[in-house]
Amino acid sequence: MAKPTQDCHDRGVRHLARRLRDSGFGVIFINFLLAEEVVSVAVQEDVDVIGISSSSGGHMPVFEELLEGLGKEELHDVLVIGGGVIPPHHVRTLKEWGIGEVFGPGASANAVADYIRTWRTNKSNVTV
Amino acid sequence: MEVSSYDETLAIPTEDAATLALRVQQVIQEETNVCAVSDPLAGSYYVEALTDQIAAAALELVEQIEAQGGYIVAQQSGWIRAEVEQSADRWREMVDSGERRIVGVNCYQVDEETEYPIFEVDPEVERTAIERIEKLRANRDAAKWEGAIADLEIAAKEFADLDVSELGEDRLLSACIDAARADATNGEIMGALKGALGWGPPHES
Repeated sequence: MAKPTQDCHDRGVRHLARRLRDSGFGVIFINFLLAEEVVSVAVQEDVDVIGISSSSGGHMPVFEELLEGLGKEELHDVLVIGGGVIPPHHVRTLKEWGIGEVFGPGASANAVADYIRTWRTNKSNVTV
Repeated sequence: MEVSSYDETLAIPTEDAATLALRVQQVIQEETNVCAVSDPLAGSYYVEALTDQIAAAALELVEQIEAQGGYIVAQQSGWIRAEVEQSADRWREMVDSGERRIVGVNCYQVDEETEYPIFEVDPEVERTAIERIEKLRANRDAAKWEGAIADLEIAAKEFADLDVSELGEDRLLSACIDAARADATNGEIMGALKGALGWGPPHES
């Protein structure tokens, strides 16, 4: 879970990190990083999923740089999801870019956990 | 008092949405006469009782913080962060269970949401901002800037090495101000701080 750029609206993402951890996920929470730094943490920690939280309006370049960085590292299997204050027409573009899902204000932590579990199940069905 | 714009959960508000929110405040201010007295709800048993409850709960928290040795110690131990997170969790649990009703979130939801016009930052804004920074970097006193950034790096290193009991004795803030006066950008100041302090506050576990 990452909250890149200088964006301190972290109540939602910290709650989500906690709930995911409590339901059995290994969670790393980092904030105030550049997209390229998020990618290097993803490489070091060998993560399955990257969740980007944004409430400051600067999400599009962050996702763009993140996807570019993941491509360079050949991390094509990593699921990227988003959340926060992201308008509907940006959500449509992000999904075209390959972002799995975007969870807006009011979305429950259970919905995020369920989404990741379903993704994981579908993925292992395909690869096994 | 502030009335939020209806599109704040989607983006920075449009001018129309911000104006509507402002007009609501102005209707209350100008048409209800609520400003004629300093405390229009004074004497209401319900409001006064809630005010007393909040005051008592806040004082209890202050006492808990003092008992630990003060705010900085409570921050460093992670107690403040944990309290805030637990409070957010309790709130969210009440929303998830339906105990606390939020219109549109856990009651009166609609299947098809209406799409509203969204405020978009003009790409021209980014171009002019970049141009302004490039101009600043080209024209600023390079030696003065270099000296101020080098000094900020030292101040940040000194700050990182301080014990929590010594916080407040540092010169980190004044070094940041000096760097800003030497035309260092926000990004350059953040870069110097991150170099010495890493990704998070050093005095918090």
